[in-house]
Amino acid sequence: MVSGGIYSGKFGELRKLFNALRLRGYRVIAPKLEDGVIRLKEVTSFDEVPYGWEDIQAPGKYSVREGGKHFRHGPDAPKRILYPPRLELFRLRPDWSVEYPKERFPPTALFAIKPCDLASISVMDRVQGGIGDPYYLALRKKLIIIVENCVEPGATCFCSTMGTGPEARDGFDIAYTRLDDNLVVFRPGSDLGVELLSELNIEPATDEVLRKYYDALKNASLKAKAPFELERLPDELELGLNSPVFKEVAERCFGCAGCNMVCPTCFCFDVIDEPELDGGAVRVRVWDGCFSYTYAEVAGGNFRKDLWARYRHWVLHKFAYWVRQFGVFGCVGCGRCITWCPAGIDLRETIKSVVEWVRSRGGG
Amino acid sequence: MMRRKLKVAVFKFASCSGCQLQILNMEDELLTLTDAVEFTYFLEASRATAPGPYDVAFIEGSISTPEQEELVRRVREESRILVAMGACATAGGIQALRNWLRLDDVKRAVYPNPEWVKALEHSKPVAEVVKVDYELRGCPVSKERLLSFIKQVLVGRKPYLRREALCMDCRRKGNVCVMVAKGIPCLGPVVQEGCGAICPTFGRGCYGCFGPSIDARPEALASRLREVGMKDRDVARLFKGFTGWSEKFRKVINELEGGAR
Amino acid sequence: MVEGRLIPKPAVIEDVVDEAPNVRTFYLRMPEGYPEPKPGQFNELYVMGVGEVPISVSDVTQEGLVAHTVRVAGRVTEVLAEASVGDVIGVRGPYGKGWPVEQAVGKDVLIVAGGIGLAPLRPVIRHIERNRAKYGKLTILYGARAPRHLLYKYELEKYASIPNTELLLSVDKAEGPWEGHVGFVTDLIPKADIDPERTIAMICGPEIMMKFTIKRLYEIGLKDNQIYLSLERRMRCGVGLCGHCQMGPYFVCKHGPVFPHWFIKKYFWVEQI
Repeated sequence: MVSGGIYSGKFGELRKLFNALRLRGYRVIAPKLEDGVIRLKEVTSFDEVPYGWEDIQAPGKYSVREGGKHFRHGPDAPKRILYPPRLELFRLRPDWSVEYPKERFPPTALFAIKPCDLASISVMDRVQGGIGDPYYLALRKKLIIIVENCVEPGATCFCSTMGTGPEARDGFDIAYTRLDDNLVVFRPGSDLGVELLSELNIEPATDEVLRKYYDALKNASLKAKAPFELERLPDELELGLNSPVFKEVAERCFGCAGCNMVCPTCFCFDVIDEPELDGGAVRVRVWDGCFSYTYAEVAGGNFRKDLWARYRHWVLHKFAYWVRQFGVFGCVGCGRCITWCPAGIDLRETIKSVVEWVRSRGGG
Repeated sequence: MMRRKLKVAVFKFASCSGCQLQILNMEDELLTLTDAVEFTYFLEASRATAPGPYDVAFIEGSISTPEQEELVRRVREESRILVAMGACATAGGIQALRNWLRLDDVKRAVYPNPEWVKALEHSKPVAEVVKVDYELRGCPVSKERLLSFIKQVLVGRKPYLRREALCMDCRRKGNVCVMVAKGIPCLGPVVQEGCGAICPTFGRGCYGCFGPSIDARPEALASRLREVGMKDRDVARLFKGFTGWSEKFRKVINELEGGAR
Repeated sequence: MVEGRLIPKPAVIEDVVDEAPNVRTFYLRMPEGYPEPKPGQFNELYVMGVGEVPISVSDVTQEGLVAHTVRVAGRVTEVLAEASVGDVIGVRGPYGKGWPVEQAVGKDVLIVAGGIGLAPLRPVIRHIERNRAKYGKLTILYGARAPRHLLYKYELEKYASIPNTELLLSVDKAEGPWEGHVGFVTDLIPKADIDPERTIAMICGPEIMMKFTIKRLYEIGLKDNQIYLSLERRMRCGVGLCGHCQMGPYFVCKHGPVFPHWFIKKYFWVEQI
């Protein structure tokens, strides 16, 4: 990974960067305020990016206000773009020959996404990329990423604990940080990033700016913490498989699988086969989630018929099994599953309680 | 695969005809289906009727009178596959609100000569009277699901329609959760998918016309709604809409209303 | 490529055998390039526009037909059961890790099967029969609900005539003349002549039956590393992508379905894992 120096410039340079991406023919996908929520959508003008707005997040609650300094994110993660919720895989003709839908992938720029979402892409690189998902790979190849470091994490953020933020480490083309209204720090992370930055009117960051930059990110990292540590967490959670905590929390859970849907890494899919009147059929891939009742259902029974077992599977998958399967945690600490849970269940509290239960029994 | 034409009948009971209209609304699709499907009894579409037996009978409406009970039993005998179609047929419909009241009071409130009205004590879903093979939920039923159902029957498959909570479909679609972002009470977390999340798409809460999802936990939703400040009475009213008489919602309503019935 | 792995290819049904109530075996002429399945592997069988089910390979005939024994239990198998000779269905596979037939060379083999669970073990019996000299004693313990539910009745007796083989049958209910055992298949374990020192056990059946079997095998002195089981899960994609078949960190479709017990026991015994 290329990593150049650190530069600083005025806020207007961000606009120039945005316009440069558009000029080079990129479809730009960025945070965009829509009906009181920050979405991740295609934008055609820099002014659509909600600078000057702030989102307020809490378990089960989300709102925005104008006049805030920093936005985080809304319910959409990059997964929605790179791994669409519903995708027609192919059509089988009555003679069993295969017809693929024609997909065209424009070069795409993710602009002003957050370090947690950047980290989710690197998780997806291991999962969807590792297994060779052609749709993912085709789009990923043409993806450029401009990440905005988080100076002000939200109340449901815990990237600091997960090691994914508030500062992006690698995997981006350009990382920028808004230190105040008219001071932005830039860092290239790839050759393309270097090239794009060289076109801006910026200068190497002075010691004073650097100090401010490091202080801001350090300060932010103290905020984005969860009440648990990663060290030995997978093992401790597995020791807590029989913890009553899962049953207690599941009492409040609706089993709606909303968390699966907003999670930037949840990858499970279902395959739907729809017959066609000509005797052929279509195969469609849709997001599935382990909270849904039929997820582990087979003709003769259901391996996780109780909601607590499904809740436990999700927590364990993210924080224990995923590490064993893919070498990283399945959670990037974005907090979406907490904010967007209609029951207001806080994952951080669940993990903390399970760990406490394990330790109280002399485990861990 | 497609041998002879599928004989389909559509019967209406206590209902508004909205679900039958959905069949007629499948204009384009109906044309492609006419080679494979024959509507042998469908008064909303044609006065010409043919006697049973039927391959598939769609039942619209709840069972509210003794005559209807009798008729639906006869339809059952004549039909290979019996499908309850819509909120009335699957859960008793909005008219099941009277099930919480005394029948005489209701009759007197509505009709000048209540003694002429012969009605059952409850507005009942079809399944309380005869065996129902499949349910197509909603008020009205969804065109897409109807079509998918018919296609599946045509290829000889046991029709399968997902019955998970609406939230999954709603969020796949890219809607913003109205509960979380707007504080609007929404039944989506406990209501069956299939409508395409129409109401949340337009920024309002789901009012539950598809009835409880598989493994729904309305009691958990009710306690969350109370936790964020809704009164018991209002929570009960939220559940007490088109599918309030469904077993799962009825239980929650009765608990909230203090054990009536 | 994912899509490639999810495309069913056409296979022709060459023979259909009624095995038991609601159970039929389909012998398929596989598409070109389909690799020979190993004992214990499975295929995804697809009915056009209906859907897919994972079904274990229950035999590979001399003519190269691949057998699948299907119990009618869900919406896909219901349609599949109606299929007849000459019909074309889709296949993907073979998938998964099979039985340890190589590790078992030179050892005694104990097969414990319940109901439809004999199907994935039948290729093991075939394999030992064809390579008889390479293995020690073969013990087959097989149980079903009732005599009419026993699979492969037309060849069960022949298993007993394979040299150095013991076959014991059990049914839950006799329902007529029956010379075998009435009770659980696990009751047969102490009745059989098993040398715990040199035996590899291969188990397939309902999860509860496998758990009781393991306990019984402990009692006669078998160790975890001598016990193998084939697990059932919702194997939707068959290739470790869709997530449905996870048991702990393992994708049953790809890391299994056959697991050594020592390897999986940490998760296998946890309720609703």
